[in-house]
Amino acid sequence: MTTAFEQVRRLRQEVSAPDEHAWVSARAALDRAISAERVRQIPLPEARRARPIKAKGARRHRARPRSAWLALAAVPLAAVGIAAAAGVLPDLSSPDPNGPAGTAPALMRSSFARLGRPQQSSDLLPQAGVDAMQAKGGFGGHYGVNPRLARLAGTVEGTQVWLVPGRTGSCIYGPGGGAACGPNGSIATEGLFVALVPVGGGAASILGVAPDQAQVTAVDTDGSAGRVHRAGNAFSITGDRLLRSFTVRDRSGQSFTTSAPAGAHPGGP
Amino acid sequence: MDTAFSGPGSGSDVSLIVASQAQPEVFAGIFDRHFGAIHRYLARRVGSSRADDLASQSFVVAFERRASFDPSYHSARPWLFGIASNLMRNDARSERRLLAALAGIDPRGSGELDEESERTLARVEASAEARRLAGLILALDSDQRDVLLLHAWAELSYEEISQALSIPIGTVRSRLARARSRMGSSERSVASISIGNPTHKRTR
Repeated sequence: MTTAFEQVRRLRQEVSAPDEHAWVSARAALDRAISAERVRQIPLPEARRARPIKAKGARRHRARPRSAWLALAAVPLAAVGIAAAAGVLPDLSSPDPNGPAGTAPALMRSSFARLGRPQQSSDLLPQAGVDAMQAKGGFGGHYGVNPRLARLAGTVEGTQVWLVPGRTGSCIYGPGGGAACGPNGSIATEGLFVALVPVGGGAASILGVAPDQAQVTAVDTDGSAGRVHRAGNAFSITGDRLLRSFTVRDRSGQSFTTSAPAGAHPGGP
Repeated sequence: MDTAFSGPGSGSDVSLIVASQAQPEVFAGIFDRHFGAIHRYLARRVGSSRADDLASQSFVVAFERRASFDPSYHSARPWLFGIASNLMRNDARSERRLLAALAGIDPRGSGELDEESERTLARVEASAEARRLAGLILALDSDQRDVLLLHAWAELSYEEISQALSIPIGTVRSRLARARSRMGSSERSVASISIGNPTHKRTR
């Protein structure tokens, strides 16, 4: 058998080394991931922490209090602004040199099977979402996000949530123009979410996506389980004034817990 | 910093990864050391074009998951090859397509092979032996193929393969033995190996 084994070994000689473009492109992707993590590592000064904002054109949802896309999505943006002003970080608004992804990366397809199936009419991203993904200097361009690859992650409590993959990062998009983006490496395991905080005060709502077969659980301040709504890859936690944290447990058993954002104060900005 | 790291390109893999917990940019040293090897391995298996994407993703994923790296390992190579192998499993079709083309089974008229793969194919076109080997590799179970090619193409030791795939070393030995046995004893012709679409069979 050694003969066949040696023949297999010799067969490997038929492939050349990576070219310069491959090196540069891959290194750029890693640099973006490093930059994104450095953003997360920078603590925000209390006085400059992102606060609830009223989004223009935010849609009113039935009996739900008027909400504004906020925050955990805006926190990194605020951090970028602060850090960039201090000259600490590279510019995260720089677009991916390779442009939008042609296909959803294998990593994302492995965690979100719907990214690998043919696009259906319901997957089409609303024009406002396309605009948000393609905003000049936005994270969408930075991560090489392609709105044409969007898939409807699910409709939870009447709210549609789209997942929009990119070369090195992906975004979620919801109604009212809200979006959040992050690196694929973490989204493939932890998912991605945004928090909505009622302008008039009250419980924050969490809206996000979780990978296939991931469990999402919530815990209230009294230790009881909070209610999590699921539909496809989308999830939401709404109207839970006691929400303390929520956890995404991926299919390998890894858990990622996030503290609930503080509610907005009535009469905020 | 209380680490052994003293600058880009210096220090062990372990010290770089440990240091990168506090200084993320240090992880670039791991990329500089191992990207070439990871890319070449992936290119051999799925073609150069897909390798660009998968190798890039491998290092982004490795960076994101560096906290899970076992510092008892001397080298990051097995860990990185393991990540690359896992990513590649999600892209198994590319590998089957390349191997099938090498074996002369898949019609090249599919137009789905990248330029580098076409060049590779051209180089081995005249080699009946290469076609036979590609067919035999294609016929292996994916688990056996992973172990065989990590050993033959990535030159990982049994222990390193065990680390890469998170399987006992005994399993590495048995899978490799089965792969060798199947390759050595196989009497099947390349043309008899189906890749899922019988209409694509071709005899040379």
